[in-house]
Amino acid sequence: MTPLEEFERDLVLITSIEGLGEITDAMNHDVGKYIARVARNVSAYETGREALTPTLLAMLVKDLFETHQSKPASARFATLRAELPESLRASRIIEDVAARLRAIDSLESKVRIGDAGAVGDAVRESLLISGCLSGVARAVRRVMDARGDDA
Amino acid sequence: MRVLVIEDGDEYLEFAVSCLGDGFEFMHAHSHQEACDALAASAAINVFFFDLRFERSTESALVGDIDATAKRMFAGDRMRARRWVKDQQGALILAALRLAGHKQRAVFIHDFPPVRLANLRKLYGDVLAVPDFNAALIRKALMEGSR
Repeated sequence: MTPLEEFERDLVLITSIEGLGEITDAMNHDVGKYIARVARNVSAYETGREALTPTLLAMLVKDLFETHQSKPASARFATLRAELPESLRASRIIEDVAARLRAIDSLESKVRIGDAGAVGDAVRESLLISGCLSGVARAVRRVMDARGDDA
Repeated sequence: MRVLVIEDGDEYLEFAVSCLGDGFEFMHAHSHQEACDALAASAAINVFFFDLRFERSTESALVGDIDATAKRMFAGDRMRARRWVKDQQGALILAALRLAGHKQRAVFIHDFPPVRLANLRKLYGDVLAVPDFNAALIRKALMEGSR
């Protein structure tokens, strides 16, 4: 079973998911979408063979480390994660996203100076995080639709 | 081609200028009022480029009646209503612009569920959504809006 399938299974077992869609939509938007704003468009740099242009590097730094209220994406994610029901907060896919965000944070000093290897690693992690959070948001919507729940 | 970028920050404009390439002239609005001002100043705007969530906007800059929304949708919970109005602000601004007669294509970067997107099209006509910051798809969506 994939981490996303596990998440959806746990979701089905929760009796009240009122407001959950708002949280996972915010995770998808505030973290998943923006963390991949530059990353999604620089696949040529994913291998870390080339340096980003100064403009794109500045944008990437903003996406990763100065995003919501000028804080790292990991901080925004931590805030929203704390709003999740306990059983979902500890789920494998949510922990996986947190671990990838920690990995990105550990690359900050190198990414800021445009180290090609670090930028490549950060881009790859960003795309994976974006995919996970998009999947989580869709899973919540699917379950809510099936139950006839509102956001 | 003239694009009006409507968002609560500057991430869309920054992205558009840096990643979409040549052929565009961008104008910028942070609210419905600023969008109206931009439209009044330039009749030749071809397409709207929207964010959906306006979390950073002040309440006074928002379109939408929060108190009525609280009563109608959230059993009087004003905080949840305020959050909803911010979360849906792009669509609410689009509704207001359509009401004022502005029929330009609207392009959102948002992963709308298919039913929601179909509803937006039913209500507001020419609406496209790209699920993420994919420059090639966004460029295509914006360019087609000029035809």
